[in-house]
Amino acid sequence: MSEKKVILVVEDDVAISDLYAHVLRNAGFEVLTALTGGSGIELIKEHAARLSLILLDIMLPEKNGIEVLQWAKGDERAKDVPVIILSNLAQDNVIDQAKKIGAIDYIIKMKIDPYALVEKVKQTTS
Amino acid sequence: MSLSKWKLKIKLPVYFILISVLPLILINVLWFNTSQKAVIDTTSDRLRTIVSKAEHELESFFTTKQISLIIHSQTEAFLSKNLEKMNTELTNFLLQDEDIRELSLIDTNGKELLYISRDKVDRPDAPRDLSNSDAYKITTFVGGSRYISEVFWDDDGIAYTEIAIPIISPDDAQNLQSLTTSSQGDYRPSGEILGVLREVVSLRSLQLSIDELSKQAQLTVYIVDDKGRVLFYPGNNNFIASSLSEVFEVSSFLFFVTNTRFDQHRVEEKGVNRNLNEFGELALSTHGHVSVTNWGIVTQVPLTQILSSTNQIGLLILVLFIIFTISVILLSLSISSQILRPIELLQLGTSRIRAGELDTRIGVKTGDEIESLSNSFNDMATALKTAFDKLEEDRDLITTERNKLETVIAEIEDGVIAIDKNKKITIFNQACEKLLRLQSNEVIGQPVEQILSFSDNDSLIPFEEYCPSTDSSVEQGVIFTKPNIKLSAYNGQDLYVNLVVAKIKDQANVNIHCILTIHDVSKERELEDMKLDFVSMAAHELRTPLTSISGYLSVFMNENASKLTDDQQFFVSRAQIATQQLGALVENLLNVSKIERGSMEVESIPTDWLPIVDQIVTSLHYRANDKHVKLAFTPPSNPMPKVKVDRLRISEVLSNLISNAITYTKPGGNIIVSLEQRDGFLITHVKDTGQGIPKDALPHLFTKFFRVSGVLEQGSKGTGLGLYISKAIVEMHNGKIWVESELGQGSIFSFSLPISD
Repeated sequence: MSEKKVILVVEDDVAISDLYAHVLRNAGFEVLTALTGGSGIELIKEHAARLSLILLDIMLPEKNGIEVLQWAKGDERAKDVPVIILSNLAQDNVIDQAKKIGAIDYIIKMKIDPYALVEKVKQTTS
Repeated sequence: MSLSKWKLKIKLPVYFILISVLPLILINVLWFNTSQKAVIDTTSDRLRTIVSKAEHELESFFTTKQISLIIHSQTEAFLSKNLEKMNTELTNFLLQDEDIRELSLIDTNGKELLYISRDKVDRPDAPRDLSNSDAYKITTFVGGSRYISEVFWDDDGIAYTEIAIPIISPDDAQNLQSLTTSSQGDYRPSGEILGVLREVVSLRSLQLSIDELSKQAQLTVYIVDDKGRVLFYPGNNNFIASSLSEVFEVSSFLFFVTNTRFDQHRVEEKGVNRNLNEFGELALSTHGHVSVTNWGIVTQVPLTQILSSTNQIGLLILVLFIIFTISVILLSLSISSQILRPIELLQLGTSRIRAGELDTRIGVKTGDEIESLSNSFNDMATALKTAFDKLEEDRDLITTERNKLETVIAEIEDGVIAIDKNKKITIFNQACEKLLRLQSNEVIGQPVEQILSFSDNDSLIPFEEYCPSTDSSVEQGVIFTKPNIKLSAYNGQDLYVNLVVAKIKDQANVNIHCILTIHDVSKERELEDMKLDFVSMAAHELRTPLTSISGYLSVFMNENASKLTDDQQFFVSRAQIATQQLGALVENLLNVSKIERGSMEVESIPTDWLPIVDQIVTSLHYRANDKHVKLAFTPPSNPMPKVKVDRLRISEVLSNLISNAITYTKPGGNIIVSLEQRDGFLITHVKDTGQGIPKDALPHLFTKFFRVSGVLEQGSKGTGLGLYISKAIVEMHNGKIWVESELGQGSIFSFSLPISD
């Protein structure tokens, strides 16, 4: 069995964070979670080399998702790690901004079933 | 100043006088001249008559005296040459003729043989020798003619003259006949002269008769002798015996008389002259000649005397004439004022009307044309007053209306701008001034495009779009509305407004092309933004727990499906459906807020529509099956062109329509989705066999929060936002959405999408 792919979930809502962690781990991924933007950046710094995907919320304490994304895309080691924005904020300007900075997708959390998300993660990291 | 320029008041009397008085003057002058001439003619005749009478008187006096001398020289006493007899004879002769003062008989030698005097005082004792006297000389030697001496006067002023004749023999007496008949009074006997008979005669009686003639004829008749001495002058003895030039002023009259004294020719002309008389008065005069004595007779009468009666009549006429003229003037003044008074009243009335006293009326009661004129005038004044009052009333009304209108426009909370045909601003109310921070006086008359512009999402709305210059004057009412557009004034003031543009009827008459009503929505927009922000935030905050619930439910079902009873599974699935509904609700709210905010964007790209329809229909099959409704898609046989759509957004529309159809169709019903290509659009129909929609609900079907009440109520769900959002999305694709429905039969919802070129 190959080494588990590492997914970083940056999500301030513990329930959702746990849910995603649960289904992803069941699907065979190693999951790192951060509850704030700041801790998200710390984890990216720490694990950049082995991260396969970052699932990033927008509305975050300390630093918001856009800031985290900007930082990540500006970081030499982390810039190639694909980032999917997972947010319930559905403002077009934010979506555009995120995509412009480098997020590969912008998914409304509400609209995606946890299993559909797992499928999406599998697709992205394969 | 010509007559025509005078006032009637003067003109009328003048005409009157000219007409009535002028002929009178002419007649008077004519009459005066004629009567004067007649008087002069009469007087001239009288003058001539008197002169001939006087001539005759004098001639006959002297002729008589000579003849009586001659007759006595031929009496028997003289023939007998008896001195006694002759003395007796001569004495008788003296007694017979009272004029004779003395008588003498002179012999051929000049000796006075007999002398008889009336006074008998100067009788000489011895016979006088009279051989040297003129009487003897002229009668005996100078042809034997008769002799008349010059006049001489005694101390009492009595005039005398001496007359002598030669005495001849009876044989030669036949010559007597010639003597008596000769008007010249010449007595020239040819025979032997026997002696001389001489007498001194008083001219007293002659003078009296001439005086009487003067008196009777009321003329001055005076006699002058051949030396220019005045012999008789009636009523004035002072002139007697004096030379004419001594007693009278030298005048043309006298000059004439004195110069023609000896001129037989001239003296015999008995014409009447008009000269200055001896007193320097203008007089009529004539003169005669006494051939026996070579005397002159002058008769004259001053013109003033003969014309005095005529002059008096003339004076009387003049007085009458003046009285008449004054009467005429007074009469004409009174008549003219009678005529003019109504005219003056009219004039006064006219000037009062002109001064604005429209109540002026004229009370002329002359019963003639002037009264009817004044009646017409009064009628005119009445009509004028009525019209004026009406005008006043109208003006007040108009003013009131205008004030009302101005107040209304000024007080309107919204900005009102009126634009004329030349795109210039004609009205700019207070609200506008406040909104744009501009003063109306700096923008009125300016082209509107230089003052302000409207833009919708940064694209300028051209003037022609919101105020098209359609020349169809029938077009009126609201012609353009656009909410939420940006108004930029030239002074840099920006604000968001709702613009409503209207055209009015008869715009040409008021020169208003368009009326722009500007409703400031900046504040509303702020509020709306806050609301939308809140909705957006709320929706977001709602999503988080919803995400958890639906996620955990999903995982729970997935991981525990085998352990749950059927009931348990059913319960969980109920929870899942409710969660999904709640999610859809939140989703719709968010969409509405985006639509309202104008922040919903569609990214239209050419897309194959058929597979999308197929996919959506397939994804909804399980819901239709759940409800035992047959959902079918009948793809067209021919290939369909691509449409320009935002795939995600337009999918929502179709999903929504099919979901609604499932919701409102009873089990056993059919839902058919079909496509149709028409007029450059691809039209999608969703036909159901549901309950249908009441007609009165149709117009409101696509409005926000509208829900059909009544029959549909029991089975209905949802927020009333789905169709509103669908409509917004379709219209963002430049398509249209519509519905055809019959209650109890079902509905067909359709929307069109533009085919991509």
